[in-house]
Amino acid sequence: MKALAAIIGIGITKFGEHWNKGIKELLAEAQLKALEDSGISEKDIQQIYVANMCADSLSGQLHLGSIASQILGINVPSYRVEAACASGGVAINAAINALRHKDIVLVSGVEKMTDVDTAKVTTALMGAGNEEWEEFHGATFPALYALMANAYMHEFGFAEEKFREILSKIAVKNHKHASKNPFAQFPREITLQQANNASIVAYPLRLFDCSPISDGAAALVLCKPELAKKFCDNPVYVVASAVATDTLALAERESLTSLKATRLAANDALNQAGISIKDINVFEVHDCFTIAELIAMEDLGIAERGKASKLIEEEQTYYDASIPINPSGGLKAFGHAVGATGIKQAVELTKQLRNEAYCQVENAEFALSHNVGGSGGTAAVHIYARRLL
Amino acid sequence: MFRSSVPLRWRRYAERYRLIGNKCKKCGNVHYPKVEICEKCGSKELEEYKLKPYGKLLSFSEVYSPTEEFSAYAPYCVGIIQLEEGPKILAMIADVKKEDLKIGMKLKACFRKLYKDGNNGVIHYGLKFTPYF
Repeated sequence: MKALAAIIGIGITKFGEHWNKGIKELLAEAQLKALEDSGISEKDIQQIYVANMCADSLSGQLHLGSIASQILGINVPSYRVEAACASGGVAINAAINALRHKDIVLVSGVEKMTDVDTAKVTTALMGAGNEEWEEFHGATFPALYALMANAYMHEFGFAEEKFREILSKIAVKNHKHASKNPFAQFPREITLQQANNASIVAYPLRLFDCSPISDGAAALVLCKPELAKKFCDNPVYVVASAVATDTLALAERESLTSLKATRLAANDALNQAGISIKDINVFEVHDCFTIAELIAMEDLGIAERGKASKLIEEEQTYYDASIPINPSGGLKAFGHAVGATGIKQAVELTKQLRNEAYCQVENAEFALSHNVGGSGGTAAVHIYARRLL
Repeated sequence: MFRSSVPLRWRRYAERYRLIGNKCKKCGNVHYPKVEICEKCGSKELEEYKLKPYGKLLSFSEVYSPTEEFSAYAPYCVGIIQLEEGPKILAMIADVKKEDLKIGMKLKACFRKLYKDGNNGVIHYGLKFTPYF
C-alpha cells in the first residue's frame, strides 16, 4: 500500500452560528489550530488550498487564497477551490497532487452562512445546481434531493410511512453521534417522533432530513508521507484520493436514485488503496439530506441497490455497530459549513485513526470520506490508513 | 439582482418556449437541453430539433422553502418529466394538487409565467407541465 500524503496536523472550529466571527476569524482559528497540532512553523507551509463555495454570493468576498496566506503571515502560492459542497474534498485532492512538487501543504475550508436570511442562502446554494434549467424552474436543493427520495421510494416499492421511518432513523442516529461531539452544531439527540412530524421543507423531506445552515472552518497540514515521522509520532496516511464528475443537472443523469460520480470515485479510490469496501472500518459520508446517506451507502458498495434501509433498520450504522457511518454527527447534526465540510470529514476521520474521536470506533485501521458537490455533479472519495501495512 | 438581466434569459427563449433541443445526425439520439457532443455515440454532428411537448412524471416534490425568486408562490410542485423522445427535464407542475400527482402519470407542457423580478422588473416565462387524459 502506497501513501499519497500524511496528515500531520488537524484544526477545526465548532460548526454553528458564529455571530461574532467572519470568514477570516473562522479560517484563522482552524488554520492556526492545525499548525499548532502539527508542531511545524507557518514558515514551513509551501502552498495553500482553501475550499469555499459561497463567500462571494453571501459575503461579497472573493480572493480567499490571499486571506488564507495572510492569516499565517506568509506569501506562498494559495488557491481557492470551489466545487460546491465538494469544495473541501476537491481541495484535498488538489493539495495531494501538489505534494509531488512540495513537501508541506496546508488545505483549509471555510463557510460563513448565517449573516443572511434563509431564502438568500437557499438561492446561493442553488448555485451548485443548474441555474438555467433547475433554479429557473423553481428547484431548491432540498427539492432536488426530495425528487431523488420520491423516485427511490417508488423505484424500490416502499410504502410512504415505512420510508419516512427509515429517513428519520438516519437523522436520529446522526444526532445521537453529534450529541457526544462538542464541535457539532446540534450536540443533542432527537426522537423518531420529532423527525417524523417535523415541518415539510420539500416533500417528502422534512426539517430533520436536511443539514443545517452553518458557519465553520477546518484545516489539515499535509506532507509527503516519507517526511511524516520527522514531524509527528501519529501521522494518518491518505492512501487514496479520487474525484469524479457528472452532469450538473439531476434530470440529465442516467438515474435519479444513484450518483454515478460517487460510484466512479469510490471504485477509483478502492483500486488506488488496493482494498475492498469491507476493509473500511469507519465512514464519513455526505448526508446533506438523509436520503443522500441512504443512496451513498449503495453507491459506495456498503449495501446493494435498494437494500441500504435494512442496515438502517438493524441499527448497523451506529458508531459502536458493524458499519459505523458518520460518527461525527454527519452533515445533518455536526453541521454543513459547505466549503469546510470535506475538510471536516478528514479531520474527524484523522481523530478516529488517532483514537481521539468522541464516538470512537474501536481498532479502526481504514477510514473513508465521501464528499458530494451539488446533487452529484462532483464526488470526492478519500481513504485514510492508521499505518502503512 | 444581477439575474434580472434580460439577455441572460432572452438567449434561451427558443429552447425554453418551444422545446428546441438537438438531435444527433449519426445515431438519432435526442437531447434537451442541447449538448455539444452526443451522449450516446459521441458524435459532434448535431442539428436543432423540436421536441414533442408530452411526457410522463418520474418524480415530484412540493417545495415549501423556495429561493428568493419563488418566495411568493410556495408551496408549489416541481417534477422530473421524461419527454416522449427520451430527455428528462425538471419543471414546475401546474393546475394540480400534490395529492393528485402520481409517478408515471402523463403530462403535457403548457406556457406559463414563472416569476417576476419585483414589481418593476422583468416577468419570466417558461414551460410548466400539467396532467392530460
